[in-house]
Amino acid sequence: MNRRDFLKSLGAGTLATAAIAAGCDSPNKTQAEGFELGEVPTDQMTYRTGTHGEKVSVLGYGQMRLPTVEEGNRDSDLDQDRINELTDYALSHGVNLFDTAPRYCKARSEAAIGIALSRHNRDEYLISTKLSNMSPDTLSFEGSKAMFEESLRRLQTDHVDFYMLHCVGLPCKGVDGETMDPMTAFKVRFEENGMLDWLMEQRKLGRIRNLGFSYHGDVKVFDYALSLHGKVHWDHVLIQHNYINWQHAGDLAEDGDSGDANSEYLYGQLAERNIPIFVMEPLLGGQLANLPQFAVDELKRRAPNQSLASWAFRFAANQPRILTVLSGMTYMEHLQDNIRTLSPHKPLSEDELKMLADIANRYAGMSLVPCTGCQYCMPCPYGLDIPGIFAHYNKMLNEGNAIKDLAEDASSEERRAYRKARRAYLKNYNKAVDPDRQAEHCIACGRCLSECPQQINIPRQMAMIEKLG
Amino acid sequence: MAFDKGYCKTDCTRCSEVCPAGAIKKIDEIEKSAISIGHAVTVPQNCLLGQGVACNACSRHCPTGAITLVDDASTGHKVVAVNENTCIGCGACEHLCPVRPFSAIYVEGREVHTTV
Repeated sequence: MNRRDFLKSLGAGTLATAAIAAGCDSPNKTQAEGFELGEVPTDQMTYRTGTHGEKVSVLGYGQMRLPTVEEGNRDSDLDQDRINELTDYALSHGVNLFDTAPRYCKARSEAAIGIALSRHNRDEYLISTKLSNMSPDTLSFEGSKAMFEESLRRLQTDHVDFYMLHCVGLPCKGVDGETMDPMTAFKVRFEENGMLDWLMEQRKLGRIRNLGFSYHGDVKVFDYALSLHGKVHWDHVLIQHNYINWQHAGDLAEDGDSGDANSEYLYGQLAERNIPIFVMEPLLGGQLANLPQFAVDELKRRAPNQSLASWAFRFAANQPRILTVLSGMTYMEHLQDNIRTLSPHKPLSEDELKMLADIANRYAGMSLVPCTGCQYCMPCPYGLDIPGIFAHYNKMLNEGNAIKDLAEDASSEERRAYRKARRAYLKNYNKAVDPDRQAEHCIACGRCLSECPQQINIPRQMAMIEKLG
Repeated sequence: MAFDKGYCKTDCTRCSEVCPAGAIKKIDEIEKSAISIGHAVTVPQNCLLGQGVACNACSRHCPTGAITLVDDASTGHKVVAVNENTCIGCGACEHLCPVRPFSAIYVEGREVHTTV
């Protein structure tokens, strides 16, 4: 809300109104007219067509980062009033796809969005949710089926427009508590229990309109799932895609860990088979909105008043087979900015693509931790705030406050700079993460290892970050 | 906030101390430095830089370093760039911008305050 709008809506302050009127006539027409950014368009959204002719807004509303009552505390209750308001705003500005999953927001997302959406007609919106059967008690046919039925109940509907097998390519724990490798996990979760066949039946019955899967991690499982295309006819697939992941997904992972495959490869495989693509993490968990200064300068040079995030959205939606770009928008300002960017989508020029590729090259060399803040690793049994610690570490690197090792023969100048950086680091660390929840409390139990979709070796990174402190 | 009268100083928490109704949450200086109440938006056609005047009032006074002057890709002239993710919306830039009556940079408020 702009304060000028606020004044306008109050109808108060004749002075302000007079200034607005004067501003319209004067050659110096700017702020007084309202604001430089202009109104948020309601009817300019770009739509793309799904496998069965659905018109899907190219901006999809991800429900993994819903607002909470207590600002900044993701453990506190979801703020249903704000969720309702954001949902209404999205719908009235052309966003018609809402993507959730049973485990989002500590298993509260589906119910919350169910409440918000059921206040509208069912034909005004499309729902996407997933089969998150990765805990031992949901691996069975009955357990998985119950999860689907529970999703319908929470979402207050009789059909799901887009249903996905969740996190194909990641390991998970078996009924015996042992971790299964990604390929075995796929077979146990979807094939051997007959779940995939059952879901295809549900598609015939119209309870599922589109059947697909979401991919992270081991690319062999992605390839295997695609090899089933002849039998299953995947209607859509969800991949992680942004200008870093396009060619540098591997660089984001640590040595020895696989990480996702490059989205250039994934896109090529899916486009070849004509499978519409859902995009997740267009901002790499917000990182592409919080860029280091060299990237900020380069992007702002081209468009001073375009947000950093807008470039990432234009990139994510740039390819023709991309059906929708999912974004978890917690704040009204994010929603408005993204609607502006994609109403309508403005394709990137060759020159702009090259510039983003150059930024990606430099960015991938910065060795940031590729944490997207999904919170799957939480709660940590030892109380660490894992995503908070990584966010602080990345912020420090981005702002050029990295603590480099001090050489034995460092000059007094260097020592002073070192002390300053260290003080800044520690002060901000304590502010960002409660001292009881910092990296040093990690005992490397490894419980988080099989949970991380980005396959970050969390205990190893914690040991690295602890040394900085 | 009326930024023509002043701006929200980073070391001041007076409003949170005096509010009798609890409508403004009590915060200390450290907390305040990380709270964003808006973000600045530039109005290039008002800016002195476009008229060849070497002004850097906004970037010099920005307490978070969110404002930089960059070379515009199309014209080569210096323009003001705001990093909307590090800006806290304090309004120092709007208040101290010499262009009047409508300054060349102004703050868009946030619906809900965020932490930077």
